[in-house]
Amino acid sequence: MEYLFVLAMVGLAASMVAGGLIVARLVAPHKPGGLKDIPYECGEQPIGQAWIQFNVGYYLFGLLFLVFDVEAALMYPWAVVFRSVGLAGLIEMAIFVLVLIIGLVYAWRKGVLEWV
Amino acid sequence: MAVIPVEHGLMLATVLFSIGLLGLLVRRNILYMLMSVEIMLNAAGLAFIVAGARWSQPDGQIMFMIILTMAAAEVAVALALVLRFYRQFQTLDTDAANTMRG
Amino acid sequence: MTTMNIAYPEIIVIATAFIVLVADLFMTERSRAALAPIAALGLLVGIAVTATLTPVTGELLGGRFAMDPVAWWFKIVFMLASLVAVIMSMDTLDGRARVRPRGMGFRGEYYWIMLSSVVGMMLLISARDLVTLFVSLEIATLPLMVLAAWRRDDAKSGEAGLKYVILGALASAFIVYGFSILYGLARSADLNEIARAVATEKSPAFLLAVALVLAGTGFKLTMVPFHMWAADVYQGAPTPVTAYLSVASKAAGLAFAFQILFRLFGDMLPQWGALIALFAAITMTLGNVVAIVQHNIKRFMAFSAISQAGYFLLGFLGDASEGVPAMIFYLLVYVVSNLAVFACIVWFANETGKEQIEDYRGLSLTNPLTALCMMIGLFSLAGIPPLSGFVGKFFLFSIASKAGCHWLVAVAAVNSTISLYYYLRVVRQMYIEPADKEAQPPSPSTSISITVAILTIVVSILGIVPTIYQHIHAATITWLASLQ
Repeated sequence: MEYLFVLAMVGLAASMVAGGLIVARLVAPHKPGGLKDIPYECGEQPIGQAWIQFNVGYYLFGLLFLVFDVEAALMYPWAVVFRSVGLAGLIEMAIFVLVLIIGLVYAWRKGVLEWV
Repeated sequence: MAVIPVEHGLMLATVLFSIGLLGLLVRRNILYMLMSVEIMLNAAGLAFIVAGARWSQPDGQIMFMIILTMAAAEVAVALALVLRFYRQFQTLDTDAANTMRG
Repeated sequence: MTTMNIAYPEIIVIATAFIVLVADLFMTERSRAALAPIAALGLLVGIAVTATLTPVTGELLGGRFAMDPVAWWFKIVFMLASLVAVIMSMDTLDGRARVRPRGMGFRGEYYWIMLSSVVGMMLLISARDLVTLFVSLEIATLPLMVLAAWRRDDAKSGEAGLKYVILGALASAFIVYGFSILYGLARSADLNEIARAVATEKSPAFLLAVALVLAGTGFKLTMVPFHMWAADVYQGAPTPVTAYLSVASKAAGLAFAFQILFRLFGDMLPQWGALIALFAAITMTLGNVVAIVQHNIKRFMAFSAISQAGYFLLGFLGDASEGVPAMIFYLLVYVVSNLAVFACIVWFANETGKEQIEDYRGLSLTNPLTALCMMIGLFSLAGIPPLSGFVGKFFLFSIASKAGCHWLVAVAAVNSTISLYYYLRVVRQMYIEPADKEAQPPSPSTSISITVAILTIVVSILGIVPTIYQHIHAATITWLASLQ
């Protein structure tokens, strides 16, 4: 029985998408060809194939992102119980974030953030 | 409310763990081996969540987040070493890693 | 009892690690030579604070972090091992080595990573629930993987690090999957409560969990058949790191084994006697036999370390009130002897850049004192009286004998003879073979000479002075009482 809501939700979501597409097809002017066929890449014209080797330098940025990505995951449980853990919890979390910030500052000072 | 039986969750975890272990044993490409280890770690995490849900305790989920963090740290170290390995051996095949014998 | 002072050792080491890291940011490359003394000083303060800690029992964070007399001994050993490792690394990292290994830079990060692994080990023995135990295990081992791959330009070092990471992650996966089953069975993440809950457990799921966790523990202890990583990692890692790995990772493995075998499965341990005896016999025999044919001294020491793990396993047989002090005492002896030998190896590699056993020929002529110290260290590892290694092995063998495993004592005795043979191979090169005429004789280094001298004296007297063993024994009795 309770899965009915899920089904209704799925139906609603599908109809939203389908509705949007159908309305667009009905009212929008239809002019194919030209630049419209190329893949959208942040407004820039794509150069060459998408299957290229990326610069290894991105790897370090990825790592730094990963650190703060996981940090956010660990902060959610703390946010849920924020009121009950109070000031002590805030200080503990501040220490945790401070450690990560020291890491970021270290990476920054060592020139990891500079693009070469 | 109908819940997913514990057995199903644990079975899925076991299957995932076995897939990971098998992948680690048969694959020769380091990236695939790392992915297999990640699958194994996530299988363990899933088992923790299932057990935590069974006992309605938060410990299982805490452990999962910790496993997630640890897996991220391990991947960070491993990928750095994979990059170096590729630069030195021009391949990702583990059979190339045999400079030490005895 | 929630006094903060039981956590002071960890806090001091963590603080030192951060001081080193931040100081590294604001230093010029020349003044970075001050980083090693800072790290060493922090560890010394940590040892001093631990040594004067009263009382040595207590718990923090709702019982998740606990200090006890056995943990006290382990923490002392961890800090001592890393202190010596820091001093050993100084020459190599500060560029005082005659043959400079390429790609050994980044001193701040090096000491920071080493100190973080020490903190992980110290937390490992104090952990009282699955989450803390797992986290501290990872904090202890991940830095070791980074250290093993420290030499950037060296293919061997990178290969060592990569093998260590993949196999280490595999061991972690085994351990954590075993933990998840234990947690599911016991309804608690607290180690003592799990021990109570599974005391009479016989289900297949529980046996699977035991097998997984023990396999992971065997990996950390380099127990055969989970030893394959050790040889390559030891050989490929930079020499000071190998020294640190051989003692610290072994000590951490033993600490983890204590947590698992005594705290978690303490009630079942007596039933596993035959299995442990079998693993002990295989581990020491394989380690010893393979060590005979080695030519690289680091690989040679790796197999020697594997066989030593087999001797450690003897302590898990029989009565815990005798096994535990014997193992801790032998750990102390092993750490000191192995570091004495490795200090000589590090110095020799610094001076000549060579690491084959044959390269040591004639060392007694060019550097008689160093050769003597290395010989004493090797003889202690082989267990020759009156050196401390003999006393340590004697305690372990007598436990196996009391547990009724007479065949195992015979195997261990034969293995000791084999080990004497291959340790003598090195001694023979140093004392009997003539020195290489063309080669420049290695010149002594101040920091390493002092370290070697102190370690050699400790190796010689540790077995003669009975107070240390008595102290360990008394500590064990209190610890065992707290396990019940």
